[in-house]
Amino acid sequence: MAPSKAEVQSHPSAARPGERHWRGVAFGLQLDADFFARGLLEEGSEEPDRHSVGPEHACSLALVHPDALEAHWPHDDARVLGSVRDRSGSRLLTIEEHPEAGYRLDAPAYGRYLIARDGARILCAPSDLTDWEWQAFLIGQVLPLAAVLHGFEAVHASAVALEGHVIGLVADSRGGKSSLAINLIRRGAAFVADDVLALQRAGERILVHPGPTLANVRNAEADAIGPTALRLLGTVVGSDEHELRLAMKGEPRRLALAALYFIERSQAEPDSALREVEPDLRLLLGHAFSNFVRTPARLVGQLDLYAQLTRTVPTFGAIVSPAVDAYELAGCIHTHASTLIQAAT
Amino acid sequence: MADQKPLRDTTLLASSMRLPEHVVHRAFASETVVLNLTTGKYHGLNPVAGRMLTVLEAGGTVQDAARRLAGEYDQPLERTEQDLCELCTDLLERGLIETDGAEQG
Repeated sequence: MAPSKAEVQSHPSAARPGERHWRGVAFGLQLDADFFARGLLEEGSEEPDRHSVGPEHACSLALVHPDALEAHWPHDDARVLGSVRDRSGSRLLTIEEHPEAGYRLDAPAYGRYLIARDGARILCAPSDLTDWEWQAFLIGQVLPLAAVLHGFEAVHASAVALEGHVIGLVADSRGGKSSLAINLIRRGAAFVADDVLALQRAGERILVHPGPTLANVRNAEADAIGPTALRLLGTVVGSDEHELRLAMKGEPRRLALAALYFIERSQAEPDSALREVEPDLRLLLGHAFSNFVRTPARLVGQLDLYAQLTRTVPTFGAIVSPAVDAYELAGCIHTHASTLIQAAT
Repeated sequence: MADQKPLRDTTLLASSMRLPEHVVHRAFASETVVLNLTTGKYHGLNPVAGRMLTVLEAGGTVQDAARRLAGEYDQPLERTEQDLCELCTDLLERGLIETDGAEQG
Protein backbone atom coordinates (compact mmCIF):
# COMPACT_ATOMS: atom_id res chain seq x y z
CA MET A 1 0.00 0.00 0.00
CA ALA A 2 1.08 3.57 -0.52
CA PRO A 3 2.59 4.91 2.69
CA SER A 4 0.78 7.36 4.88
CA LYS A 5 2.45 10.64 5.70
CA ALA A 6 3.31 9.65 9.25
CA GLU A 7 5.06 6.48 8.16
CA VAL A 8 7.54 8.10 5.85
CA GLN A 9 11.01 9.18 6.84
CA SER A 10 11.38 12.72 5.54
CA HIS A 11 14.09 14.00 3.29
CA PRO A 12 16.51 16.29 5.15
CA SER A 13 15.46 19.34 3.14
CA ALA A 14 11.74 18.74 3.56
CA ALA A 15 9.77 20.74 6.07
CA ARG A 16 8.90 18.94 9.28
CA PRO A 17 5.41 17.39 9.15
CA GLY A 18 2.77 20.05 9.68
CA GLU A 19 5.38 22.81 9.77
CA ARG A 20 5.13 24.39 6.34
CA HIS A 21 3.14 23.73 3.23
CA TRP A 22 3.53 24.84 -0.34
CA ARG A 23 0.52 24.68 -2.57
CA GLY A 24 -0.18 24.95 -6.23
CA VAL A 25 -2.27 23.76 -9.12
CA ALA A 26 -0.91 22.08 -12.22
CA PHE A 27 -2.35 19.69 -14.76
CA GLY A 28 -5.69 19.80 -12.93
CA LEU A 29 -4.17 18.63 -9.66
CA GLN A 30 -4.49 20.48 -6.36
CA LEU A 31 -0.99 20.09 -5.00
CA ASP A 32 0.08 20.25 -1.37
CA ALA A 33 3.77 19.69 -0.68
CA ASP A 34 6.32 19.84 2.10
CA PHE A 35 8.84 21.51 -0.21
CA PHE A 36 9.10 24.57 -2.43
CA ALA A 37 9.12 24.33 -6.21
CA ARG A 38 9.44 27.51 -8.19
CA GLY A 39 6.68 27.93 -10.76
CA LEU A 40 4.75 25.04 -9.26
CA LEU A 41 4.28 25.47 -5.53
CA GLU A 42 3.90 28.60 -3.45
CA GLU A 43 3.90 28.99 0.28
CA GLY A 44 0.66 29.80 2.04
CA SER A 45 -2.55 28.29 3.26
CA GLU A 46 -4.89 30.53 1.28
CA GLU A 47 -5.94 29.25 -2.08
CA PRO A 48 -5.68 31.95 -4.74
CA ASP A 49 -8.11 32.07 -7.68
CA ARG A 50 -5.77 29.93 -9.68
CA HIS A 51 -6.46 27.02 -7.34
CA SER A 52 -9.92 26.35 -8.68
CA VAL A 53 -9.63 22.59 -8.81
CA GLY A 54 -11.92 20.34 -6.81
CA PRO A 55 -10.72 18.49 -3.71
CA GLU A 56 -11.24 15.21 -5.54
CA HIS A 57 -8.10 16.08 -7.45
CA ALA A 58 -5.95 16.68 -4.37
CA CYS A 59 -2.43 15.35 -4.57
CA SER A 60 0.10 15.54 -1.77
CA LEU A 61 3.82 15.50 -2.41
CA ALA A 62 6.48 14.64 0.12
CA LEU A 63 10.25 14.65 -0.05
CA VAL A 64 11.54 11.44 1.46
CA HIS A 65 14.83 9.67 1.93
CA PRO A 66 15.44 7.04 -0.79
CA ASP A 67 15.55 4.28 1.85
CA ALA A 68 12.12 5.29 3.09
CA LEU A 69 10.72 5.15 -0.41
CA GLU A 70 12.21 1.73 -1.02
CA ALA A 71 10.86 0.47 2.29
CA HIS A 72 7.38 1.21 1.06
CA TRP A 73 7.71 -0.32 -2.37
CA PRO A 74 6.80 -4.03 -2.45
CA HIS A 75 9.45 -5.15 -4.93
CA ASP A 76 8.40 -8.79 -4.98
CA ASP A 77 4.93 -8.14 -6.34
CA ALA A 78 5.82 -5.28 -8.67
CA ARG A 79 6.22 -5.70 -12.41
CA VAL A 80 8.24 -3.65 -14.83
CA LEU A 81 6.00 -1.84 -17.33
CA GLY A 82 8.79 -0.45 -19.42
CA SER A 83 12.11 1.25 -19.51
CA VAL A 84 13.75 3.97 -21.54
CA ARG A 85 17.38 3.82 -22.61
CA ASP A 86 19.60 6.27 -24.43
CA ARG A 87 21.44 5.48 -27.66
CA SER A 88 24.35 3.96 -25.77
CA GLY A 89 22.02 1.59 -23.92
CA SER A 90 22.25 3.32 -20.58
CA ARG A 91 19.05 3.17 -18.59
CA LEU A 92 17.27 6.51 -18.30
CA LEU A 93 14.00 5.46 -16.70
CA THR A 94 12.26 2.33 -15.45
CA ILE A 95 8.56 2.29 -14.68
CA GLU A 96 7.12 -0.34 -12.36
CA GLU A 97 3.57 -1.05 -11.30
CA HIS A 98 2.19 -2.69 -8.21
CA PRO A 99 -1.52 -3.56 -7.98
CA GLU A 100 -1.89 -1.79 -4.64
CA ALA A 101 1.11 0.48 -4.16
CA GLY A 102 0.82 2.19 -7.53
CA TYR A 103 3.71 3.22 -9.74
CA ARG A 104 7.41 3.67 -9.16
CA LEU A 105 9.53 5.72 -11.52
CA ASP A 106 13.25 5.12 -11.20
CA ALA A 107 15.45 7.49 -13.17
CA PRO A 108 19.14 7.18 -12.21
CA ALA A 109 19.78 10.81 -13.08
CA TYR A 110 16.71 12.23 -11.32
CA GLY A 111 15.85 9.89 -8.48
CA ARG A 112 12.95 7.67 -7.53
CA TYR A 113 9.31 8.61 -7.29
CA LEU A 114 6.39 6.61 -5.94
CA ILE A 115 2.90 7.53 -7.10
CA ALA A 116 -0.13 6.09 -5.32
CA ARG A 117 -2.48 4.13 -7.53
CA ASP A 118 -5.14 6.84 -7.35
CA GLY A 119 -2.61 9.61 -7.98
CA ALA A 120 -3.41 11.21 -4.61
CA ARG A 121 0.08 10.94 -3.09
CA ILE A 122 3.58 11.22 -4.46
CA LEU A 123 6.79 10.44 -2.63
CA CYS A 124 9.88 12.06 -4.10
CA ALA A 125 13.40 10.77 -3.43
CA PRO A 126 15.40 12.92 -5.82
CA SER A 127 19.02 12.41 -6.80
CA ASP A 128 21.62 14.86 -5.62
CA LEU A 129 20.70 17.61 -8.05
CA THR A 130 19.74 21.23 -7.91
CA ASP A 131 16.06 21.73 -7.22
CA TRP A 132 15.19 22.94 -10.71
CA GLU A 133 16.78 19.84 -12.25
CA TRP A 134 14.93 17.17 -10.31
CA GLN A 135 11.77 19.23 -10.29
CA ALA A 136 11.93 19.32 -14.09
CA PHE A 137 11.58 15.53 -13.96
CA LEU A 138 8.81 15.81 -11.39
CA ILE A 139 6.94 18.20 -13.66
CA GLY A 140 7.73 16.48 -16.93
CA GLN A 141 7.18 12.84 -15.97
CA VAL A 142 5.76 12.31 -12.50
CA LEU A 143 2.94 14.84 -12.34
CA PRO A 144 1.59 13.95 -15.81
CA LEU A 145 1.26 10.35 -14.65
CA ALA A 146 -0.54 11.50 -11.51
CA ALA A 147 -2.87 13.58 -13.70
CA VAL A 148 -3.66 10.52 -15.81
CA LEU A 149 -4.41 8.53 -12.64
CA HIS A 150 -6.84 11.33 -11.69
CA GLY A 151 -8.70 10.86 -14.96
CA PHE A 152 -7.17 13.64 -17.02
CA GLU A 153 -5.62 12.88 -20.35
CA ALA A 154 -2.03 14.08 -20.73
CA VAL A 155 -0.63 14.92 -24.15
CA HIS A 156 2.89 15.83 -25.22
CA ALA A 157 2.22 19.40 -26.35
CA SER A 158 2.77 23.01 -25.42
CA ALA A 159 0.01 25.57 -25.32
CA VAL A 160 -0.74 29.26 -25.19
CA ALA A 161 -3.95 31.21 -24.72
CA LEU A 162 -5.27 33.68 -27.27
CA GLU A 163 -8.37 35.73 -26.53
CA GLY A 164 -9.47 33.29 -23.84
CA HIS A 165 -8.98 30.17 -25.95
CA VAL A 166 -6.17 27.65 -25.88
CA ILE A 167 -4.03 26.85 -28.88
CA GLY A 168 -2.22 23.52 -28.58
CA LEU A 169 1.13 22.95 -30.28
CA VAL A 170 2.14 19.36 -30.96
CA ALA A 171 5.48 18.21 -32.31
CA ASP A 172 7.87 15.36 -31.90
CA SER A 173 10.43 15.58 -29.11
CA ARG A 174 12.86 18.43 -29.87
CA GLY A 175 10.42 19.50 -32.60
CA GLY A 176 10.28 23.12 -31.52
CA LYS A 177 6.95 23.34 -29.71
CA SER A 178 8.44 25.14 -26.70
CA SER A 179 10.26 27.66 -28.93
CA LEU A 180 7.04 28.24 -30.83
CA ALA A 181 5.08 28.77 -27.62
CA ILE A 182 7.65 31.24 -26.32
CA ASN A 183 7.50 33.22 -29.55
CA LEU A 184 3.70 33.22 -29.52
CA ILE A 185 3.96 34.76 -26.04
CA ARG A 186 6.30 37.39 -27.49
CA ARG A 187 3.49 38.14 -29.93
CA GLY A 188 0.92 38.64 -27.16
CA ALA A 189 -0.33 35.18 -26.23
CA ALA A 190 -0.42 33.95 -22.63
CA PHE A 191 1.54 30.94 -21.41
CA VAL A 192 -0.51 27.84 -20.59
CA ALA A 193 1.81 24.83 -20.56
CA ASP A 194 5.15 23.58 -21.78
CA ASP A 195 5.47 20.04 -23.08
CA VAL A 196 2.49 18.56 -21.21
CA LEU A 197 -1.19 19.36 -21.67
CA ALA A 198 -3.75 18.01 -19.21
CA LEU A 199 -7.07 17.67 -21.01
CA GLN A 200 -10.55 17.01 -19.72
CA ARG A 201 -13.93 16.62 -21.39
CA ALA A 202 -16.50 19.18 -20.26
CA GLY A 203 -19.75 18.92 -22.18
CA GLU A 204 -18.88 19.48 -25.80
CA ARG A 205 -15.64 21.25 -24.95
CA ILE A 206 -12.16 20.00 -24.26
CA LEU A 207 -10.73 21.91 -21.31
CA VAL A 208 -7.02 22.51 -20.89
CA HIS A 209 -5.68 22.68 -17.33
CA PRO A 210 -2.65 24.97 -17.06
CA GLY A 211 0.71 23.47 -16.28
CA PRO A 212 3.39 24.92 -14.02
CA THR A 213 4.50 28.38 -15.12
CA LEU A 214 7.84 27.10 -16.32
CA ALA A 215 9.20 26.56 -19.79
CA ASN A 216 12.38 25.14 -21.24
CA VAL A 217 14.03 27.41 -23.76
CA ARG A 218 16.85 26.04 -25.88
CA ASN A 219 20.02 28.05 -25.61
CA ALA A 220 19.97 28.76 -29.34
CA GLU A 221 16.43 30.09 -29.04
CA ALA A 222 17.39 32.17 -26.01
CA ASP A 223 20.22 33.67 -28.05
CA ALA A 224 17.82 34.43 -30.90
CA ILE A 225 15.37 36.09 -28.53
CA GLY A 226 18.10 38.14 -26.90
CA PRO A 227 18.69 38.94 -23.22
CA THR A 228 16.44 41.99 -23.04
CA ALA A 229 13.40 40.29 -24.56
CA LEU A 230 14.10 37.20 -22.46
CA ARG A 231 14.00 39.26 -19.26
CA LEU A 232 10.61 40.60 -20.30
CA LEU A 233 9.34 37.04 -20.70
CA GLY A 234 10.36 35.80 -17.27
CA THR A 235 13.09 34.83 -14.87
CA VAL A 236 15.76 32.25 -15.55
CA VAL A 237 15.66 29.72 -12.70
CA GLY A 238 18.19 27.25 -14.04
CA SER A 239 20.24 26.30 -17.05
CA ASP A 240 22.48 23.61 -18.48
CA GLU A 241 24.48 23.14 -21.69
CA HIS A 242 21.29 22.63 -23.75
CA GLU A 243 18.62 24.92 -22.39
CA LEU A 244 17.47 27.24 -19.68
CA ARG A 245 14.45 27.06 -17.42
CA LEU A 246 12.26 30.13 -17.52
CA ALA A 247 9.66 31.02 -14.89
CA MET A 248 6.89 33.10 -16.41
CA LYS A 249 3.49 34.51 -15.68
CA GLY A 250 0.89 32.02 -16.85
CA GLU A 251 -2.77 31.93 -17.81
CA PRO A 252 -4.46 30.82 -14.56
CA ARG A 253 -7.79 29.66 -15.97
CA ARG A 254 -8.96 26.38 -17.36
CA LEU A 255 -9.88 27.27 -20.92
CA ALA A 256 -11.33 25.43 -23.88
CA LEU A 257 -9.03 24.03 -26.53
CA ALA A 258 -9.79 25.99 -29.70
CA ALA A 259 -7.28 24.49 -32.13
CA LEU A 260 -4.45 22.03 -32.32
CA TYR A 261 -1.42 22.52 -34.56
CA PHE A 262 0.83 19.62 -35.46
CA ILE A 263 4.24 21.09 -36.30
CA GLU A 264 6.54 19.28 -38.70
CA ARG A 265 9.83 20.58 -40.04
CA SER A 266 10.52 19.53 -43.63
CA GLN A 267 13.36 20.31 -46.02
CA ALA A 268 10.86 19.79 -48.85
CA GLU A 269 8.77 22.78 -47.79
CA PRO A 270 10.25 26.08 -49.02
CA ASP A 271 8.31 28.23 -46.55
CA SER A 272 5.50 27.19 -44.24
CA ALA A 273 2.15 25.71 -45.12
CA LEU A 274 -0.89 25.29 -42.91
CA ARG A 275 -3.62 22.87 -43.84
CA GLU A 276 -6.52 21.34 -41.94
CA VAL A 277 -6.00 17.70 -41.12
CA GLU A 278 -8.21 14.95 -39.78
CA PRO A 279 -6.38 13.56 -36.77
CA ASP A 280 -6.87 9.85 -36.36
CA LEU A 281 -6.49 7.90 -33.16
CA ARG A 282 -3.02 6.63 -34.05
CA LEU A 283 -1.69 10.15 -34.44
CA LEU A 284 -3.17 11.24 -31.12
CA LEU A 285 -2.03 8.13 -29.25
CA GLY A 286 1.47 8.76 -30.58
CA HIS A 287 1.56 11.96 -28.51
CA ALA A 288 -0.22 10.63 -25.42
CA PHE A 289 1.49 10.49 -22.05
CA SER A 290 1.78 7.43 -19.82
CA ASN A 291 0.42 4.96 -22.37
CA PHE A 292 1.59 2.21 -20.04
CA VAL A 293 -1.45 2.98 -17.87
CA ARG A 294 -3.96 0.70 -19.55
CA THR A 295 -6.76 0.31 -17.04
CA PRO A 296 -10.23 0.01 -18.62
CA ALA A 297 -11.20 3.39 -17.13
CA ARG A 298 -8.17 5.11 -18.68
CA LEU A 299 -8.63 3.42 -22.08
CA VAL A 300 -12.31 4.37 -22.29
CA GLY A 301 -11.67 7.90 -21.04
CA GLN A 302 -8.87 8.35 -23.54
CA LEU A 303 -11.01 7.05 -26.40
CA ASP A 304 -13.91 9.32 -25.40
CA LEU A 305 -11.69 12.37 -25.18
CA TYR A 306 -9.92 11.79 -28.48
CA ALA A 307 -13.20 11.05 -30.27
CA GLN A 308 -14.63 14.31 -28.95
CA LEU A 309 -11.46 16.19 -29.78
CA THR A 310 -11.59 15.07 -33.41
CA ARG A 311 -15.24 16.15 -33.62
CA THR A 312 -14.96 19.53 -31.93
CA VAL A 313 -11.41 20.89 -32.16
CA PRO A 314 -10.08 22.08 -35.54
CA THR A 315 -6.73 20.48 -36.20
CA PHE A 316 -4.05 21.74 -38.54
CA GLY A 317 -0.79 20.48 -39.86
CA ALA A 318 2.00 23.05 -40.13
CA ILE A 319 4.70 21.93 -42.53
CA VAL A 320 7.59 24.30 -42.00
CA SER A 321 10.93 24.79 -43.69
CA PRO A 322 13.92 24.72 -41.32
CA ALA A 323 14.70 28.18 -42.72
CA VAL A 324 11.59 29.62 -41.05
CA ASP A 325 12.49 30.64 -37.51
CA ALA A 326 10.21 30.20 -34.50
CA TYR A 327 9.30 33.91 -34.33
CA GLU A 328 8.18 33.96 -37.96
CA LEU A 329 6.23 30.72 -37.56
CA ALA A 330 4.64 32.13 -34.41
CA GLY A 331 3.43 35.10 -36.45
CA CYS A 332 1.86 32.81 -39.01
CA ILE A 333 0.09 30.68 -36.40
CA HIS A 334 -0.95 33.72 -34.33
CA THR A 335 -2.69 35.23 -37.35
CA HIS A 336 -4.27 31.91 -38.35
CA ALA A 337 -5.52 31.10 -34.85
CA SER A 338 -6.83 34.60 -34.21
CA THR A 339 -8.86 34.45 -37.40
CA LEU A 340 -10.17 31.03 -36.43
CA ILE A 341 -11.19 32.18 -32.95
CA GLN A 342 -12.87 35.35 -34.22
CA ALA A 343 -14.83 33.34 -36.77
CA ALA A 344 -16.01 30.94 -34.08
CA THR A 345 -17.10 33.58 -31.55
CA MET B 1 -14.17 -5.89 -49.50
CA ALA B 2 -12.67 -8.98 -51.16
CA ASP B 3 -13.93 -10.08 -54.59
CA GLN B 4 -14.74 -13.55 -53.31
CA LYS B 5 -17.81 -13.03 -51.15
CA PRO B 6 -18.83 -15.66 -48.64
CA LEU B 7 -22.21 -17.23 -49.26
CA ARG B 8 -25.16 -15.88 -47.31
CA ASP B 9 -25.08 -17.56 -43.95
CA THR B 10 -28.69 -18.21 -43.07
CA THR B 11 -27.81 -19.15 -39.48
CA LEU B 12 -25.88 -15.92 -39.07
CA LEU B 13 -28.64 -13.89 -40.70
CA ALA B 14 -31.15 -15.27 -38.22
CA SER B 15 -28.91 -14.42 -35.26
CA SER B 16 -28.76 -11.26 -33.19
CA MET B 17 -25.44 -9.67 -32.27
CA ARG B 18 -24.32 -7.66 -29.30
CA LEU B 19 -21.13 -6.10 -28.04
CA PRO B 20 -19.43 -7.90 -25.15
CA GLU B 21 -19.06 -5.79 -22.01
CA HIS B 22 -15.33 -5.48 -22.60
CA VAL B 23 -15.76 -3.88 -26.02
CA VAL B 24 -16.50 -0.22 -26.72
CA HIS B 25 -16.55 1.77 -29.91
CA ARG B 26 -16.44 5.46 -30.75
CA ALA B 27 -16.89 7.39 -33.99
CA PHE B 28 -13.93 9.39 -35.25
CA ALA B 29 -13.85 11.69 -38.27
CA SER B 30 -12.96 9.02 -40.80
CA GLU B 31 -13.41 5.75 -38.95
CA THR B 32 -15.04 3.97 -36.09
CA VAL B 33 -12.57 2.72 -33.53
CA VAL B 34 -13.46 -0.46 -31.66
CA LEU B 35 -11.52 -1.07 -28.48
CA ASN B 36 -11.20 -4.42 -26.75
CA LEU B 37 -10.60 -3.51 -23.12
CA THR B 38 -9.34 -6.98 -22.28
CA THR B 39 -6.57 -7.01 -24.84
CA GLY B 40 -6.13 -3.23 -25.08
CA LYS B 41 -6.21 -3.54 -28.88
CA TYR B 42 -7.79 -0.98 -31.16
CA HIS B 43 -9.57 -1.97 -34.38
CA GLY B 44 -10.49 0.49 -37.10
CA LEU B 45 -13.67 0.23 -39.17
CA ASN B 46 -14.41 2.34 -42.21
CA PRO B 47 -17.54 4.51 -42.01
CA VAL B 48 -19.79 1.93 -43.68
CA ALA B 49 -18.61 -0.88 -41.41
CA GLY B 50 -18.97 1.47 -38.45
CA ARG B 51 -22.57 2.15 -39.41
CA MET B 52 -23.16 -1.59 -39.81
CA LEU B 53 -21.89 -2.14 -36.27
CA THR B 54 -24.18 0.55 -34.91
CA VAL B 55 -27.22 -0.96 -36.63
CA LEU B 56 -26.29 -4.46 -35.47
CA GLU B 57 -25.92 -3.19 -31.92
CA ALA B 58 -29.37 -1.57 -32.04
CA GLY B 59 -31.00 -5.01 -31.90
CA GLY B 60 -32.88 -7.36 -34.15
CA THR B 61 -31.38 -10.03 -36.34
CA VAL B 62 -28.55 -9.62 -38.79
CA GLN B 63 -31.13 -9.91 -41.55
CA ASP B 64 -33.13 -7.06 -40.00
CA ALA B 65 -29.96 -4.98 -39.98
CA ALA B 66 -29.24 -5.91 -43.61
CA ARG B 67 -32.70 -4.73 -44.69
CA ARG B 68 -32.24 -1.42 -42.93
CA LEU B 69 -28.75 -0.87 -44.31
CA ALA B 70 -29.79 -1.87 -47.85
CA GLY B 71 -32.39 0.88 -47.65
CA GLU B 72 -29.97 3.45 -46.22
CA TYR B 73 -27.31 2.82 -48.83
CA ASP B 74 -29.70 1.98 -51.69
CA GLN B 75 -27.98 -1.35 -52.29
CA PRO B 76 -29.38 -4.78 -53.25
CA LEU B 77 -30.41 -6.74 -50.16
CA GLU B 78 -28.45 -9.86 -51.11
CA ARG B 79 -25.22 -7.90 -51.55
CA THR B 80 -25.77 -6.14 -48.24
CA GLU B 81 -26.46 -9.42 -46.48
CA GLN B 82 -23.18 -10.81 -47.83
CA ASP B 83 -21.23 -7.76 -46.72
CA LEU B 84 -22.83 -7.83 -43.30
CA CYS B 85 -22.18 -11.57 -42.86
CA GLU B 86 -18.56 -10.99 -43.80
CA LEU B 87 -18.23 -8.20 -41.24
CA CYS B 88 -19.96 -10.25 -38.53
CA THR B 89 -17.67 -13.20 -39.18
CA ASP B 90 -14.63 -10.97 -38.92
CA LEU B 91 -15.82 -9.27 -35.72
CA LEU B 92 -16.84 -12.59 -34.16
CA GLU B 93 -13.39 -14.02 -34.86
CA ARG B 94 -11.79 -10.98 -33.22
CA GLY B 95 -14.09 -11.24 -30.19
CA LEU B 96 -15.53 -7.79 -30.85
CA ILE B 97 -19.14 -8.99 -31.07
CA GLU B 98 -20.92 -12.08 -29.85
CA THR B 99 -24.19 -13.73 -30.72
CA ASP B 100 -26.99 -12.66 -28.45
CA GLY B 101 -27.56 -15.39 -25.89
CA ALA B 102 -23.87 -16.09 -25.50
CA GLU B 103 -22.55 -15.68 -21.97
CA GLN B 104 -21.20 -12.27 -21.14
CA GLY B 105 -17.44 -12.44 -20.89
